[in-house]
Amino acid sequence: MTDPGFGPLELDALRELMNVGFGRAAATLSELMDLHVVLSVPRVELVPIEELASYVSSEVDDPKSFNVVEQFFLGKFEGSSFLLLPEEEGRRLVDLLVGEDADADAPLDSLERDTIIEIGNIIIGACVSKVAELLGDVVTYRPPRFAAGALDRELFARYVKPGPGMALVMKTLFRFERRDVFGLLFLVTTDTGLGWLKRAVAAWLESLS
Amino acid sequence: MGQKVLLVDDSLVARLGMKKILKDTPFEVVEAASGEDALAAIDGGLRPVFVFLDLTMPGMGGLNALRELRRRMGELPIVVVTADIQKATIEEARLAGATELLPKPADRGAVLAALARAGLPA
Repeated sequence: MTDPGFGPLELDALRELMNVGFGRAAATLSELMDLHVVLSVPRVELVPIEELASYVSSEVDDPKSFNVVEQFFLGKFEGSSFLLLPEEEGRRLVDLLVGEDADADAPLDSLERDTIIEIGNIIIGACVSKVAELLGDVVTYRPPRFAAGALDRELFARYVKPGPGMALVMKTLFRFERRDVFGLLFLVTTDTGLGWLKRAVAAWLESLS
Repeated sequence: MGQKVLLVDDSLVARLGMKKILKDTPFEVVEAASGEDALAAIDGGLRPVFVFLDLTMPGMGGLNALRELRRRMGELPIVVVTADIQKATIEEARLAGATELLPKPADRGAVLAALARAGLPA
């Protein structure tokens, strides 16, 4: 297992990187949707992979019904990114883009699903690419995957290899102003990515001194 | 004592980056980790000639801090340095009194040019 030791300064650096990355993502999305995206201060934490599902569940009011867009990114900076939208929020977002009132009780149709995947793809791509760029890396992506359901261990087991390691979780809450839609973005690094990230952040900090 | 430049950012790393840029300038850098800290410093008598201000901060946040700084300090140049580069945010910052906005991470050239535009060549 990689030594997961990140000190307060390293965590602050990761928070700032996430801040810049998500700022780019929000700008891209607001251009597309002509809406102002309100950003929160990002949080960065190390979470045991075994506890990832319970950690994520604890971050939301009702973890039973979510739309999840997952996208794996590969490079020296490597891991899975998750855009989480409560099911109802996902529908509102689709309404904003597609302009249809989705039936709240009906399952998402393919157009709605594609819309959510596209939004996830935009947010994840802009954010992860910017973080990688700032640290001197270039990442590539696997196609985004969609899942709907509870934020439970089974869901995360599809995307994150179970094991004794730690996941570096970078979380940002966003809200579309005046539209009452919110979502969460998580990046979960692999064990390999975590080791590289630690060295890259140390080098970045060194460049500031 | 040199003229003071106030850096307001909750991120220590962001402040370190700005301090490195300002290291070889004649300005004395004063740091605040929040809008509240910045206002307390101003209320305590700090009189900077220039402010670099982040927007996405806990507590009162950068926009409210900007409005309060503008109210207290009149025409003081206040440059917002932010990762949030949406058009709506830029407009909101201008309405709140920002002199201009620099996208994060700000580079040396942009920072020094902002100072020069305010009549403070480094």
